[in-house]
Amino acid sequence: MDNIHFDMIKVRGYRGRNFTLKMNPPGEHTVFVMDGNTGKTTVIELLRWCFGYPANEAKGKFNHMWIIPAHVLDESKTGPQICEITIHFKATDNQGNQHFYQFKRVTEGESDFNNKPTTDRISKIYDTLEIDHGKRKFENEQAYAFLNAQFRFNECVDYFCFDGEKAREVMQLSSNSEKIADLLLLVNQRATHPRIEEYKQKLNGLRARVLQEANAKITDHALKISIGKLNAKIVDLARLETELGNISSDIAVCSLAQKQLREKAKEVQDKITAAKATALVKRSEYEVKKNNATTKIGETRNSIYAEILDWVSTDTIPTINQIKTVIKEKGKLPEPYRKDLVQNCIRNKRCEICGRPLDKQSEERIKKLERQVAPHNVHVFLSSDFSVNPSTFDSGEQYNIIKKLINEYNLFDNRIKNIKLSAEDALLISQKETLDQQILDLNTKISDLQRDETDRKEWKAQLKREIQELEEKNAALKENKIILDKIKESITVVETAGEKIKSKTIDIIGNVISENVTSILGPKFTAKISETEGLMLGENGFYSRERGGYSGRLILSYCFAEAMTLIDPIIVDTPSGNIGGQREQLARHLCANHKQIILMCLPTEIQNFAPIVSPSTIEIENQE
Amino acid sequence: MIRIKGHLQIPKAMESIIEERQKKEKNETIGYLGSFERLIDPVLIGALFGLYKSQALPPIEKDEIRLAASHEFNADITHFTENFNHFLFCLWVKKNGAPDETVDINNYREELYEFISRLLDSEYYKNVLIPFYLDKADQQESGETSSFLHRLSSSNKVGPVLELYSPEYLAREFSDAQNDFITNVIMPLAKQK
Repeated sequence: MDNIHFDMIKVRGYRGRNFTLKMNPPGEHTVFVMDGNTGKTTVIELLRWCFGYPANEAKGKFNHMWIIPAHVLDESKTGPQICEITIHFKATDNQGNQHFYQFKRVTEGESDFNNKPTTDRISKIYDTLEIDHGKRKFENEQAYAFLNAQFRFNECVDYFCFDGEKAREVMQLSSNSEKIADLLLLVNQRATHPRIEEYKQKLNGLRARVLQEANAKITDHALKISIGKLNAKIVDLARLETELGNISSDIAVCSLAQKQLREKAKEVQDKITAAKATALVKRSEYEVKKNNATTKIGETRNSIYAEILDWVSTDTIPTINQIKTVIKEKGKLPEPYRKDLVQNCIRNKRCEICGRPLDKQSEERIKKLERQVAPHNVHVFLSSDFSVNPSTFDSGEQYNIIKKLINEYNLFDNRIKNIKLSAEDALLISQKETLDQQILDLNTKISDLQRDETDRKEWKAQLKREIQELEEKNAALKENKIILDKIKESITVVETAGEKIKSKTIDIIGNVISENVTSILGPKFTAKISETEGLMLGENGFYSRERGGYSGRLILSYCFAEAMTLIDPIIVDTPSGNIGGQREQLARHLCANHKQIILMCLPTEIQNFAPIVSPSTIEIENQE
Repeated sequence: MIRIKGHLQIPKAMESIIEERQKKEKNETIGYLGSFERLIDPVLIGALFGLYKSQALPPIEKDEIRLAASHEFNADITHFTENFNHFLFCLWVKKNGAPDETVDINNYREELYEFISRLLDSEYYKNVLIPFYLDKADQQESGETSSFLHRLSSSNKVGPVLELYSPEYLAREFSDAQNDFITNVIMPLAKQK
């Protein structure tokens, strides 16, 4: 899809506010003048929410500035209400036909101050995507899947919807040496050459054709079955490779998200720790004690099960040995006879010890003896002392330890509940709890994904072995062996090329960012991205992570976002806020690089900036 | 040596305990049931609880007991059977009395030898003895909400509260049943001497 153009963004019922942003027609950029608290940041965040999450996962995912998660419904309204976001855009397909799209997200629910972590009690989130005024219609997850397959909005919404927060995040990533890996991961996500997959698919198709032709020539039923099996395995392998690619990128994304969440959680925890409010400090202290009690309860319970065989008492060993002795003595349990000796006597009718022939009476006596003979192992059991390693496990003691820990837990839990926090402090705590839960959820997701990846890798290796065996065994494929080997070799080359392309793409993206930086800041300035040092700004050929000051680094963030987005339009909140003297150059740079620019400016940003992008500005006010 | 090799008959509740414990090998997220050192450990402790609670002798004449599920093992349980066999020996003496010369001592010896022979037979252990006592441990006693095994299977995830299925409660319940067995079976025999 090409020539994407946003026509309109309409918001109804978001926190009780209604506003519509109508963009200028294709070929023109749009500048909205929006004063403070008129929805600039909201538009960016709502777009990220709509394009970043499918309807079934959107609950609790809306972020507003530093509030995670944030509410969308009107807190001043009681009873059922809805919030509606509508986005109109158009795009041209590969055949040059233009299509019109209407995406709508409707959130139903009510506001409830007792609800946590946000006041939104959402009953339903419903997405619809209408194409060409209703000719095609997708709902919920299908709408999300369609937008991602056609426009890759989910992969780049953070960058084509750009704001100060994202700029700050990029600046942090580029100035912190510990975050180079995160930065490169973001870049690497763009570094998958679409052609690579296409080549692999073509090579697999070629292999399928070779097999099909071989199959058509042979009459032997067994060989036909073998080729059928081979074909099925090749299809399985291709599917498996796609799945593995998806899993591995999911793992990378989840790991990055988790790392970022951990940092946010640490920031919030630092704020909690630094808070001077006694109540918050106390709460934090009780929280730590409560968590310690929980950990100890878990450890004690685990050790109870780890030592489960020690539950068996060994105190009665001397008593049991006494009982055995009494039974042996009272019962005059005989010493064991040699079973073979007794049986030989009976069989040969002769005493095997003294050689005398057995009379009737003696024979009966020996038969009776045989019935009473204790087999060797029974004799050992009766005659040996019962002895096992003594157990020191005391279930009563363990029970009391856990009871005490649970009492401790309850004590601190009650103390926490009794602490009255200010609204600000309560918000910090709620944020921390939400972040901790999100980190835990991601942990589970990553473990599951890693397990799936290992399973599939094993399966892939197995399939490759089976394919090779089938190819070698099938006599009908002998004449095609050379071409099949070549295809295999080419697939390996294509796979290794993928990795090489990644490192090349980092260079290319680095060059793009550098060109952009030069076009805004002038020929003295360039940029560089490397695997060892991350993203750096250069002045007169000298690169460092601090160069350029705040405005220079802000420009670098802009350029990074431009290099990372996968679509042409760019929507920016407060675009020239801290840019300083580079406003004009930035405006010219944006105009030269984008077919559609949508700017949401403060009234103070117009001078030396907005008229360059669009001669007429549109003022927006909220409609309650 | 007593080794459980092959399919062992187990109740459904034990099957879910084993499934949870197996997650440890697969590096999946585990609860408390993942802490058992060996897969066979909960089976053995369940069987022993069945003996304590039922105070019944196993059927000597049977060759097989079938339960709702089965699991394949290959585990040496010799160390554990030392305890189990001696408790069973005491129970047998309690049920059959001490040898008395006024009655048929030969018959007494013969039955005792046969009983002990069965206890020293790995196949009997696997096919009859363990399933018999696991079945007893799976039975719900009057006044109980669920069986010992069922509660053991529910103990995988327990919050910071004392529950009837918490590991510490089950360990104490096992200990109580063990004390009852010692009081009712072993101590009276010791006094008889």
